[in-house]
Amino acid sequence: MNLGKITDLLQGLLDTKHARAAKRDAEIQELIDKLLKKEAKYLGKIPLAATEKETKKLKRQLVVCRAQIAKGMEALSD
Amino acid sequence: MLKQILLPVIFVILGAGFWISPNFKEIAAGVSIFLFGMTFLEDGFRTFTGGVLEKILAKTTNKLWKAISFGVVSTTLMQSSSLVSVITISFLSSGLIGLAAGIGIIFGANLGTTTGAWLIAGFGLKVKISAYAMPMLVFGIILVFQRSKNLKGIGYILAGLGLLFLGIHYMKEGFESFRETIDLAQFAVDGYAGLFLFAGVGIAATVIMQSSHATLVIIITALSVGQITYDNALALAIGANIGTTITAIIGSLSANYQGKRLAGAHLIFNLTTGVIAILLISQFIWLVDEISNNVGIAADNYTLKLAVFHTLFNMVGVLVMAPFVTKLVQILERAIPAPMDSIVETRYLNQSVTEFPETLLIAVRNETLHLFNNANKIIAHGISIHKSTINSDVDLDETIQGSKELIVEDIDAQYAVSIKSLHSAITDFSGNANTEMNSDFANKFYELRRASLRIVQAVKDTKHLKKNVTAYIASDNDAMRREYNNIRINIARILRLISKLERGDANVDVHDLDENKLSAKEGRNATLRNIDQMIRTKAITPEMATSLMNDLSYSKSIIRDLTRAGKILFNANAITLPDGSGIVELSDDEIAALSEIKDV
Repeated sequence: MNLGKITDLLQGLLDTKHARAAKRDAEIQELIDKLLKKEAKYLGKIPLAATEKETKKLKRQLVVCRAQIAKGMEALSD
Repeated sequence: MLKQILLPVIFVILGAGFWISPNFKEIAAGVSIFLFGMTFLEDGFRTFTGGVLEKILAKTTNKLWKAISFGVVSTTLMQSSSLVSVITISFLSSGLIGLAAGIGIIFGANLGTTTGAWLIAGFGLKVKISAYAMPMLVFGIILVFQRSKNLKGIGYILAGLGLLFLGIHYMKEGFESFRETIDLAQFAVDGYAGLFLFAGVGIAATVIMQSSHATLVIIITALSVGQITYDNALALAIGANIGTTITAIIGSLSANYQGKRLAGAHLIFNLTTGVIAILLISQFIWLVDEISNNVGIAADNYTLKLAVFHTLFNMVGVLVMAPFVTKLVQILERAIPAPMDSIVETRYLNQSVTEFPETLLIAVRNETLHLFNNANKIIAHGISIHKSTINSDVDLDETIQGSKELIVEDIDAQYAVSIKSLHSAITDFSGNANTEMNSDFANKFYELRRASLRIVQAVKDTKHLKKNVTAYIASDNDAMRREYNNIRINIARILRLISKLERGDANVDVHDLDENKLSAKEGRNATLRNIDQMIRTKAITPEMATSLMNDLSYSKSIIRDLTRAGKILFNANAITLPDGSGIVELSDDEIAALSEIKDV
């Protein structure tokens, strides 16, 4: 095998569309997992909120977090 | 003036030398080919610095011993302390590594460069290296013409090595023939006079050739054919070590204060090492003899003994200086202070960071953060809130609603002093960066330029908003004061979140920016719903309502621009990976849709 083929093979392994897509999916999945943890945290905190202002903020955080998860899921299924 | 005279003088001296002696011509040609090979070799390694080397550098320099090891290994592999110095200055200037780590790498590079003497003395002079040089050159040049970047890099390295070998061969031949006509050893000078004289010659030769490696090759080849004495060769090697710092100093002229500090450290290290070597020359010679005896180097093998000496005195230098790195950092920080009025000057962007796309990207990001920091202060003061309030944990609603304190500052003047110059530099450096890099890098630079533009726009919008904030902050009209305070609270919240993101607060992340934006959107919606009622109840006049609606629009723009800039700058993947986190970001329309949900 000549040098060109070896470097092409290495480049191929590193740069194929498939590898890039897999990397991207892994990143999104990691992000979704992080957001799911946040969602659970907010859900746990809402019943413990001391003031209405705090409850409202937590609910808002929950809504945004769920919207972000939905976007991530959508990107993953594409 | 000196520069203009120097070049013709060198040409005349060389011309005369060529006319008098054909052997001198051969030696000079050997040096030229060697230096040409060095540039090829550097170009080759530069091709592979795009990523791997930088990642290793960033991760392996958190401890002094690691930084020194990195310097030794990288210089040994690349056989170019100049390239390692350039990379180090570039990373130091961009803010990726600290001064102590940079100094450690330079110490290590000094030790690593001594392996060159071993290679030349142990291999270059023993084997007929010109036999290797020719095939290397042929294969190398063929690869240089290939389209693949990696093959091109390998080609440059092969061709570079071929040229180095060829250069050494010519120098060796030249010195051997030279011996038949003139015996240079007759000019040998003994004792300390010889030591200082030849150290001076070593310094001068290295300054002229800008390469201690080239000087060392000349010393070793001349020593191998007996054209210089062993003692004088040791002095020349000490001189070459000192002379190489001139290259570092010249290289640091285009660097920022950090690069200059590093060049200072290089100078101090090499001067100290040189002084130690000169003062303890007898002890060093004895130690070299002892080591040579123990490792089986013949007593008359002066070239290898010179390599032992070169490594030994640099090692002693590292051992002596390493415990004082912290002190050295303090001295250099005092001697070369950071620009006091750094608010108007770029902190990270300078010519030295343009050496590599990675360092430039990091420097542009850090400079944009610098701009962000300056802008946040102007914006906070523009809405009459102290930066200390933003950075604290006090309740913003209570503090802002309860305060009528006005901060008087000229935003135009502040913009001219601390925004415009930074934004221009970011635009300039990131714009010029786009020409020769891949699309991933080009996109990142584009995003950072966009972040910078949004930050500037937020400052400009604050200027418009400031007029009415100033008018209503202490107004007797409760409704207007309350509504303007709400605007201030919403802007203060985003400034606080950004401040927390900048400090790396574990309780927040970049995705919280969307929640903040939704909160601001709800606040604006509530105000817009109240406006009609406030007019009806004559709490505000229609003119006041118009001002309020205009200013709501400005506040919306400020929050939107700061949010977008924050997402670009604080996204964990923003620099190292494709922008995966951006996928879950909510658009303005999606935020608007969420604000309609009654339950929120």
